[in-house]
Amino acid sequence: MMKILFIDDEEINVELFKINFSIDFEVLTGCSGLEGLELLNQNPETKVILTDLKMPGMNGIEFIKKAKEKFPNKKYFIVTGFGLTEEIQDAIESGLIHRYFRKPFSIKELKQAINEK
Amino acid sequence: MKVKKDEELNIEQLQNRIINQAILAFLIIGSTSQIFETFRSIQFGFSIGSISGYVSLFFVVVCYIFRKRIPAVFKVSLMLFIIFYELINNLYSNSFLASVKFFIPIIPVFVSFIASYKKAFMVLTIYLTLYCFFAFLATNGSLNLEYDVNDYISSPSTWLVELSIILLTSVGLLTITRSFVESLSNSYDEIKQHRDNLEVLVRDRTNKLATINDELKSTNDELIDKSEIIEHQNQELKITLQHLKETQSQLLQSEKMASLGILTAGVAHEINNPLNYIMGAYDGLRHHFENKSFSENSEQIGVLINALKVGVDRSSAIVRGLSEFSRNSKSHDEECDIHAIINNSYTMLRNQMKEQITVNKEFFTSDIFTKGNVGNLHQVFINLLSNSNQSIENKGEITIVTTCENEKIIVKIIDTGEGISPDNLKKVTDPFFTTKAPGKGTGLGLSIVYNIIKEHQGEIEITSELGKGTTVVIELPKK
Repeated sequence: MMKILFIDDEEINVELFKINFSIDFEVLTGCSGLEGLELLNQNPETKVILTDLKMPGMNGIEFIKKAKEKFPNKKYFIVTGFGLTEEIQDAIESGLIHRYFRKPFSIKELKQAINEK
Repeated sequence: MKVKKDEELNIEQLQNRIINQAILAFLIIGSTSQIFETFRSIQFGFSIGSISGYVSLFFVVVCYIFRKRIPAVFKVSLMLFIIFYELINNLYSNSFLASVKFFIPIIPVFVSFIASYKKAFMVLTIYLTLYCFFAFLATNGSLNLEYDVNDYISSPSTWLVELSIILLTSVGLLTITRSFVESLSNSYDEIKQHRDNLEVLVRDRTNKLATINDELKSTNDELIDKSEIIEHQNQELKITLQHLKETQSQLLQSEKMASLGILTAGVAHEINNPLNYIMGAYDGLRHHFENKSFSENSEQIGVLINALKVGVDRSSAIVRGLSEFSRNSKSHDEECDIHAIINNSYTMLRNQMKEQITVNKEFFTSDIFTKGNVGNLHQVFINLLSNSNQSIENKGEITIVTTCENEKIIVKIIDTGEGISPDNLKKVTDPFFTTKAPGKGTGLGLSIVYNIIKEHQGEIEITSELGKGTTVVIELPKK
C-alpha cells in the first residue's frame, strides 16, 4: 500500500483524511510542517505529500521547500481553502508543487491524482 | 419748563407789602388828618392828644422811610402801639366821638400777619376791653367832655378827621383784599400756565412716544424679517445636515463594503474549511453506507457525524457574522453582545491573520451587552483587529481584554506591532489619513471607528509607542 503524508493544522481535517484515505493508502498525518519533516525522515518511502497552505509557524509552501531539499523526487500537493493565490501559482510554475486542490476537495479526484504516475 | 422767579411772591412778602402800603396810607391820611387836627386844635385849643398826634406821625414817617430794613413785627407793633395810644387819647378826649375807634376792625387783620389768629383775637379783645372801659366811664358819668359837643360836631375839621380815618380804614381793608385777590389771581394764572405747559409737555411726550413706538414697530418688523431669513437659513442648514448625514452613512457603508472586499478572500477560506469537513464526512459516510459497514465502525461514524455538525456550525457562524457585519441597519438600540461581536470579527479576520500572530482573548467572565448598532460595532472590531494584524511584521501578539466596571464596558486591544509615531497618532482618526500604500487602505477606518464609538456614547483612546505596539481602549456604556 502506498504511503502518503497529510499535513493540516485543523484536527478534523486530519481525522477525516485518515478515515477516507486509509481504505486505499497507508496514511501518515501531522499538524505542522515540523511534524511533517520529522515523519518524512522516519518514512522516506512516502510517495505523496499533501499539505495545507496556511498553518502557524511554517506554511505549506515553506514546508514543501524544506522537504524537497531532502526528498526532491516525491509528489507534493497543496490542499487549501484559498483560491489560486500568487504564491501557489508561482509554486506550480516553478515546479515546486505538482498540483493544487481547493477545499472542499473531491476524494475521488484527489485519489486519482495520488495514483497518477 | 421755566418758572418766572420774579413773579413768584410768597405770602410773607405779600403781607410785608400790605403792611408797607398800610403804613404809606397811614402816613398820607394820617398827615392829612393831622393837618385838619391842627386846624381843629387852633379852633378848640391844643391838647396832649393832639400833640401826641405829631409824635405818632413822626414815628410813622421814620418807619416808612426805613420800611425795608424794619421787620414786619416791629412795623405792626408800632402801628398797634400808635393806634392803642391814639385810642386811649381819643376816647379820653372825645369819648364816644373818638374817631380812632374806626381803626379797631383793622387791628386783628394786621396782627394776623405776624401772629396766629388766636393772638389776633386776643389783641382785639384788649382793644375792645379798653373801649368797654371808656364806655363804662362814660356811661357812669365819670368821663366828661372838655368842650361843647354841638360845637365839635358842627366843626368841618371834625368831620374831615372822621372822614380821613374812615377812608384810611376802608382803603386799608380794600388794599389788603385787593392784594390777596391779585395774588390769588396771579397764582391761578400761574397754575393755569403750568397746566398749559404741562399739557403741551404731555402732548409733546405723547408725540415722542408715538414716534418711538413707530420706530420700535419698524424695528420689530425688521426683526421679524430677519427671523424669517434665519428660519430659512436654518431650514437650509437642516437640509444640508440631512445630506451630510446621508453622505456619512453612504461613506460608512462604502468603507464597510471596502473592508468586506478585503475580508471576502479570507472568509471564503474560512468557509471552505468547514465545507471540507462536510464533504469529508459525506464521503466517509457514503463509503460505510455502500459497504454496509456502519455497525463495525461506530467510533468512526461518530467522528464523521461530529465533523458534519462542526462543519455546519462553523460555516453558518461565519455567514451570520458576515451578514451582521454587512447589514445596513440604521437602528441604534439593538442589543449588542460584545463578546459575540469580537468573536465574529475575529472569525472573519482569522485567515488574514499572519501565521505567527498569537491572539489571546481575556474575556470578562459573563456576557456583556451594550445598546447600539451590531453591524457598526462589527466594523469597529474588524478595523481595529485588522490594523493590529497589519502592524505586526512577522511574529507578534494581539491581546483582547474585556472588563466591566460599574456601568462601563472596557475593551482593550493590545498589539505588539510596530506602533504609531506621536505625530501620526494625532491624525489617526482624521478622515483619509493613512500611512498605507495607495490602494491598501482608505484612510477612513479609524475615523469611522471613532464616529461609531461616539454614536454609541463611548470613548476611544489610542496609545502607542514606536517599536513596542499600540493599545486601543474603548469604553462603552453597559446596557
